[in-house]
Amino acid sequence: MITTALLIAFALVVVGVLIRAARRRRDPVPDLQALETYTQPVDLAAFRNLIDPAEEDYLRENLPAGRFHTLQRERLRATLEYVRRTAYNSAILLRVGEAARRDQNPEVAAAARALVNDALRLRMNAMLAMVVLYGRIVMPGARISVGRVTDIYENLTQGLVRLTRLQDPAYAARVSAAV
Amino acid sequence: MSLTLTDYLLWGTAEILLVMACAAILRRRLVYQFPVFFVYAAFNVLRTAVLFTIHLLQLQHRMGYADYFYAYWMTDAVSVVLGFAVIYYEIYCGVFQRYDALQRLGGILFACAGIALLVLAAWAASAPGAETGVVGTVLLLERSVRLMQCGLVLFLFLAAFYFGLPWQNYRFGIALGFGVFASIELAAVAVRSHMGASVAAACSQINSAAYSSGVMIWLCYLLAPKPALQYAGVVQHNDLEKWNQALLEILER
Repeated sequence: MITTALLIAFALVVVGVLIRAARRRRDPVPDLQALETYTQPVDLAAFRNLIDPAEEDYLRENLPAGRFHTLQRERLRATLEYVRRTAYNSAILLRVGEAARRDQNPEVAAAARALVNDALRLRMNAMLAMVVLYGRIVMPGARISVGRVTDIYENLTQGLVRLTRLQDPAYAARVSAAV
Repeated sequence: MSLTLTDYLLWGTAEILLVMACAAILRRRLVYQFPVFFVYAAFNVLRTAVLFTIHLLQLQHRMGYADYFYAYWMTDAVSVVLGFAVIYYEIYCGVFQRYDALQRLGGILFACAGIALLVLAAWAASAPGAETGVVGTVLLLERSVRLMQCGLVLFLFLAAFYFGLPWQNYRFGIALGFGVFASIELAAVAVRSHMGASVAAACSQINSAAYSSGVMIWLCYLLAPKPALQYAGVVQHNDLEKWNQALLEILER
């Protein structure tokens, strides 16, 4: 009986996911000229500072253990928010890149392909980083790196600027500020 | 084996819709784009025709029920294998293998999902059903297979959703139709396996209706015009200039 109930519940979940996917499918491609209305701002310098091992070591050496753990948890939560934002932005940029992949100009198509691949790499790294960060919030003393999220995000934003320069040069600076 | 009018109607509807889907694939020249799906659809058209012929011969007492039984389950096994091929080649490869960044990880994730579902299917098969013997075994196998198909389709949809991957229209239709009929069939076969022969006729009709729904979804996506790329966002500058021009003209009047 339990097996049958579980299988029926699973089938219902699958149907639910499919209906949701069918409804959400027609998300429009964000316009480069209004990119800032879709993306969430990321202060890359602050983000780098939060995951800098030297900064962490300095705090570890100069603060009592209890104070360090409290502060480190707060820093990890802030880092988690930055990772979430980069992952969110990468999903937006992936849609921008995917639309530009069909461009007639091979240079634009190549830049778009690179942007899409960076966006996907970032999504993967962000997923792993979030798992690590949740683990570190539980154990703030542990020394585990959150990976290369900042580097990939920097590559991604550079890729976006490159693509915008090719498509719409007037907006390159604005687009760079949007992410 | 006696069938009601509803059974014949459901049987016929699925066959007609599937023939139309095959015709749409040929007409839109999608055979090279979705070869495995076309083989799957064409095989099922042929399968239904063969099974219906055997059924007619059986009614004339020129063939026995065992002939139909073995023909049904043997062709079902081929259909299941082709179904997995559709999931792998048309859905997974079509959506994930286009991206360099996802080729390795996508393969690993797909393999992990396949292994996890195999374990889950083995667990589901270990739970005894109401029927024993060949029918009971076949039902347990069918249940496990549908569980795996549903799980793979679910995994692909969730992974594509997480990564924000776009679906080509036809491919999305194939995955959607496949997922819908596999999940309804999973529920029906689970009920059939649990409650036994008393619900066999009702479950068979649900299966046929689910299959027709899946084929209908394929047909709708195959016949629908290709959607244009939609851009969201601000009003274009050119439009603003046109509006300004129009306003100036009105003011000057």
